[in-house]
Amino acid sequence: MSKRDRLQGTLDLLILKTLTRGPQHGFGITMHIETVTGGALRFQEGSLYPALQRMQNEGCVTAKWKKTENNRRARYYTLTKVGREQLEAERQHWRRVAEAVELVLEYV
Amino acid sequence: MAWLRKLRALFRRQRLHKELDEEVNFHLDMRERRFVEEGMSPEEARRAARKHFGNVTQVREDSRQFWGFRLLDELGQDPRFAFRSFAKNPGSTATAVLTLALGLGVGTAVFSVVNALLFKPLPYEDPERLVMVWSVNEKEGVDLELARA
Repeated sequence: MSKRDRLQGTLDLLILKTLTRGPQHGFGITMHIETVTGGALRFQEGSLYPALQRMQNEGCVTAKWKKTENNRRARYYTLTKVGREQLEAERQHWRRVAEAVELVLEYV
Repeated sequence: MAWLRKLRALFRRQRLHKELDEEVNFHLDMRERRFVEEGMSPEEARRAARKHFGNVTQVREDSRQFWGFRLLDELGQDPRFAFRSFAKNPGSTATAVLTLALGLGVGTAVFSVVNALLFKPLPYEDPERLVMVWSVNEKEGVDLELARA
């Protein structure tokens, strides 16, 4: 598995979960992940945007330009019903992978 | 859903590019501001924001791949390539064009004549009722006379 594949699956999961809190722009999603993880999870912030474009095609999110609190135009992403279902699938997949890795690590 | 977005994207490519640029710039600006608030100099903050973001050109290209019908893009490449090849070999292009023109011209000319003479019904009312009438002069041989019935 390439680094890219591994990152992509995880990034999708993080984006989808972050958007359950309500519509958010790309930078907001970055900030949320950084805050929650205490900056432990580093990813190239730019990789968020191709992922968001793809997720629009998949129907997981919709995009809309809105004004921020600072009165700047930003593109806000909203989770759709398809996106919620996708989140559930990704979450289960992640759990299975994590459990499997854990099994190997704990094996004496 | 996806195909509709792609079809729209085809016609609004320009706008999509601008929107993506604006989005990326917004991200970089916000990041920069955040770093300045944390105590970086503006110059440092600018550089750090770009470093965190990654390769801007790469991000643009990776995002764009979801906009186009790749098939249509590549379909457009074929005629472009053809025209470039024509320009490169004007001699063979001229020969090919002349051959085609001559062939088409001759074909059209021959068809016009044959069509008028053989295929089209004669320009009279109820042409199937046309008959030919002969009168025969027994002494002098056959004398031809055409009549319309």
